[in-house]
Amino acid sequence: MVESRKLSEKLIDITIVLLMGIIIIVTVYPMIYVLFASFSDGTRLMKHTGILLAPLGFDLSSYQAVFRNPMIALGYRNTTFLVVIGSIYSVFMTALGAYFLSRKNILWKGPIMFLIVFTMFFGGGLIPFFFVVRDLGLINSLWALIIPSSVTTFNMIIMRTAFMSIPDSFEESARIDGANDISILFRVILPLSMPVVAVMLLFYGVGRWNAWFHAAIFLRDRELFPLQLILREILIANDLAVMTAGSDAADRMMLAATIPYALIIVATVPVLFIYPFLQRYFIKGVMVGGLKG
Amino acid sequence: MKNNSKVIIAVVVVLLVVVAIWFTVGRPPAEEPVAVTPTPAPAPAPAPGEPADIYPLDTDVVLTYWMALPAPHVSANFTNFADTPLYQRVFTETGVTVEFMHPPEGQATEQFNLMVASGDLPDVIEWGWHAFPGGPAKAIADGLIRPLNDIFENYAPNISALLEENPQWARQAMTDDGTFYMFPFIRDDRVDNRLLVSTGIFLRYDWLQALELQLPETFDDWRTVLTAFRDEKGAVAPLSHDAFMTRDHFQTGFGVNMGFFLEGEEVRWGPMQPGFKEWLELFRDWYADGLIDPEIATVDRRALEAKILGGQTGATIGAMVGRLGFYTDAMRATDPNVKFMGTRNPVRNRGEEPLFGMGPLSLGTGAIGTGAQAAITTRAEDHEVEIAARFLDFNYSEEGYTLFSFGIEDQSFTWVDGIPTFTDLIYNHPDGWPIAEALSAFARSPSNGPFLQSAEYIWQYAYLPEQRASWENWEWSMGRPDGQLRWLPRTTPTSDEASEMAAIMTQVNTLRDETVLRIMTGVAPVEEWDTFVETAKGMGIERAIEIQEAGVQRFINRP
Amino acid sequence: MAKFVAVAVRPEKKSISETLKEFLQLMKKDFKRNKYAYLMVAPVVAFYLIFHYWPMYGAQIAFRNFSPMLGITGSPWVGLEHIISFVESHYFWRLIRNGLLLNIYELIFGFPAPIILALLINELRNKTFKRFGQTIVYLPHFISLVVVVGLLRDFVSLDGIVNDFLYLLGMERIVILQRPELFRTVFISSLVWQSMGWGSIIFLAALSGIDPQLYEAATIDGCGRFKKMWYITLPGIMPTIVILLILRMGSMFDVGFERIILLYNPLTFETADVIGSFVFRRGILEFNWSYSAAVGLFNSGINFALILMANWLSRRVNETSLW
Repeated sequence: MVESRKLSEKLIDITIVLLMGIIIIVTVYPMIYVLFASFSDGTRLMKHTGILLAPLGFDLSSYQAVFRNPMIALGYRNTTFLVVIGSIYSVFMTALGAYFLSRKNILWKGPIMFLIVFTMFFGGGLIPFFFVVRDLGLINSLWALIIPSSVTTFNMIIMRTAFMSIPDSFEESARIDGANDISILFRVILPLSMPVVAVMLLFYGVGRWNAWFHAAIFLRDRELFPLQLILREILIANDLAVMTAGSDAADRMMLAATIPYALIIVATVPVLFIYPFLQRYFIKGVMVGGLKG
Repeated sequence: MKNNSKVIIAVVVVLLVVVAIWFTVGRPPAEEPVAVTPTPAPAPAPAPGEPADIYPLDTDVVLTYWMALPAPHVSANFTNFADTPLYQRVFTETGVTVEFMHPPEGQATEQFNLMVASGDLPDVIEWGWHAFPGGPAKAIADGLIRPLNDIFENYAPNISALLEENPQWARQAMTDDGTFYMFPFIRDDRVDNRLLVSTGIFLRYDWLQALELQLPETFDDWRTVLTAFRDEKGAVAPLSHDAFMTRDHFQTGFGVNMGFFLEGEEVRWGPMQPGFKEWLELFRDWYADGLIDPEIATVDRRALEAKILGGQTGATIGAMVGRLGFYTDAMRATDPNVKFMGTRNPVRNRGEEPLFGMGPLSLGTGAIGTGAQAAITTRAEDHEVEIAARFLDFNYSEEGYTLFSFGIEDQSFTWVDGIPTFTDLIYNHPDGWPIAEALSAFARSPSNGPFLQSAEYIWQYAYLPEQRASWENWEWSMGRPDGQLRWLPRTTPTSDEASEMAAIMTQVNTLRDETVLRIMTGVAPVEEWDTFVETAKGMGIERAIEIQEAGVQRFINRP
Repeated sequence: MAKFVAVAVRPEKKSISETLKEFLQLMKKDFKRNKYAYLMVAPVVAFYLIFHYWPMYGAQIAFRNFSPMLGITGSPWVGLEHIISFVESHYFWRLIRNGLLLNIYELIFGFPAPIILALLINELRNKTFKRFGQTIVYLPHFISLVVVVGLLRDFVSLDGIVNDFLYLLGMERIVILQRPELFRTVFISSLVWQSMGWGSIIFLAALSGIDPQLYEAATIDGCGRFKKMWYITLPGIMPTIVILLILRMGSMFDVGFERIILLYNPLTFETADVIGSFVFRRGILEFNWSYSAAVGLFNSGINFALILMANWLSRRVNETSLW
């Protein structure tokens, strides 16, 4: 009996690996296409249809066009600030809210939760939001990109769910030891929730990395522009180039074909380094450490 | 149960709070813009027509000027318009310094709305006033921009003279009650329509030559040509286009178009006319025979590019510079014999005159161009108004005219036989800038702006001989002064009319697009057109026609 | 021996002031016990009040004819005019139906996909392969929509892979994007393809929170991998699944219109046109803040009602709910 179980287990293992392999190929292919396309010659790319198994020619002009823009370095700097400071701040705020919403025996927990979820559906629109930010004196400052987006309700709900799944025994024993809510959150709950904290850092980090809309509305000084806004300007300008450029602008047009891909690579590569770093928090059994203490 | 009642309490509290906020928080605490009836400042002004010796002006005023930086021609190389040689020169000549404010590219509409809503206005705004809800008349009525009639008279002799000498331009630059509101972008059409007609049907001329065929004139000619493209040249999508619903060039031969047109002073809707059914039948036949791209409904710009560059398509519709010029340039690298040529819109029988034309009324593609136009806002104080007006008026003076169309003498152009001619700096820029960008550092002719665009610039800009030849064919189709059927002029609907039109036309156009493509691709029988007309009527197309007629009447009656 | 005496007890009727007093006492006790918690949540509540509730007066734009110069409260009031205009339009029911169907399809195929993927990754034995897999599958999330759809359009074009495949199977090549009956398939496929990996992250995190001792115990008891999945893994991530499902209900009437616009054309309006794309086309004819706000409000209203129902249902069926 042990033999056949091992065999069927092995078969299932192989199936899973195969399935996973297919999924990997299918999901990684778009990125590979983007990578190849970014290094390709524009004219050949425009004519080409179908899969790319290698760059068509080798042409760095799209990257040159992107990096030639003097704002790129500033963009990286601004965005790094936003990502680091903004994510930590947001995770902190989210943790405060998620903690509150995950406790039992708090009278106003339900109504507050309702009020928060309500904002996911109804809002005032862009113009009053702009006025609020302006009245707080945040216009033209990087803080306008952090504070008005302190908490994303969806994320807070996720964190709350994670906090709720921690057994009550932890909180109880901490209270017996005389801890108040603040220390319970930071000394008990958070350490036991490292996976979800990692996810929050990832979600907020990526969110801030990709953000450009608030920057477009609230910032006047170009030196404060985050990376994505600059990249977006390059993209739009090139799109317009295709529609309006003169007869000899074939070079610019070729660029327009490959630039969107270079922009994606430029914008994504840094993120690719963060995720594996956060991955280690997804290891099973993180909670075990504090369990039987 | 406790939870429920607490939720109810919370809801009630929310509602109360929200209602309270509604009624107490109203407009932002910023200054209220007030509708201003400007009184002309009592400073003496030179009589219109006198040479402008007033420049450079002696003033400290710095004007604030909001506009979208022309992209990509200027934005590729400059982040602020004031940095361009063009405006450096303008500041020196006029003696006025201007602080330009540009929204990030692609965000112009949001920025404009936020700016206006917050009351934080500059002195001058360049904006497409027809896109303002309610049109330019509402922008004035709501107190955003100033009426310019008196300002023109007192401070802007150049534009005043131009408008007086050319009432057809003046007509287009005013609201229905005769108020001027902008320093217009005028395309000089006094000699011919070269600046107005830039789009049409074009095809692979080298293929025609190889197949020993002439440029097609009739629909039968077209069938022959497309069949030959398909059979002899391996074009699997002989005729293709990426915005099929917006093009009328084949329909005009049947006396219809895809939208509204004028017959006399009456407005008609093209898709409702019997000629439209005939056109549908023709194209349905062509599609069934593989003469039209099978993917016609899904083709986008990139796919079209791929088909043309890859030789799958031999005929399409597009602009002489942005498409024809571009394809030529892109393909000549590998095949120097490639040549595109524009043709006239096809007619039913050889020798027929085109049914559509441009007449005095029909200024759909009029001299007063579309796009952003400069207006002076109510934020500008009276003395600033004068400076702003003179600053903008400079563009229409002798010097301004040459500067804005051709750039700086001995840098971007030189005088050759009395005509400003572009220099090598434009054609072969040392940093490899394409012509459009090189020119845009010195002039605004490649895009638009508050100036009179010279007719002399275009053939130097679109310099391929086939571009000019193409234009001639296109112009012939569109430029009949005595055409019985004409395109609509640019009317200014009221905001109620605009909303009603939008509500009706969104549905009608959806129906139109679906029906046309369904019949054309064979999914539906031609008879579906009959039900289509009935349904369109049910959606209110006749009311839409009424609204258009009202607008046209008001246009005709402009002073 | 205790005697059972049936006593008719009339519940005392409390007066309002008594109830209020009791409630106030409850509040006092609650504050005393939870004062730190309230302190901690105060900045979060402040955030919502300032940046979400304070601007809410702007929602009335849906009931006015907004003109930027006049401001929100200065613009003329039109009541339900915009909403009525929208509801009365010829295509209203088609738009609703299409949006709903797309969402239902997405729920059936798109919601489980990240879960299955997470479970799949979880079952991989080779640590390196597992790490590698996790890092790769979320990549499509970062590719801009235009590029992803561009790739997709390429694949389904007449001479693209999909048609090549059909041809190999002996079928005729078809213009896939022009077939209304195929639109949902194409749309959902592109959606799942792009979001499946990123969506699995939450579940992977949830999976790592399950006590490994449970698995050890199960192995000792002789459970195979499917039994383990059924009895340990799934219940372990069930709260996450339920909450996400409830939240999902709150967007049943939203369809990402950008993706639709990139994929649809008049021949597929029949199944592809949704509220967002219709309003977009109208916006080209006339940029009307009030109209889009009205439609948005209508949309949100329905979504909100749905999430209320989903939450109520969830509360009855199990312990997981939002409030």
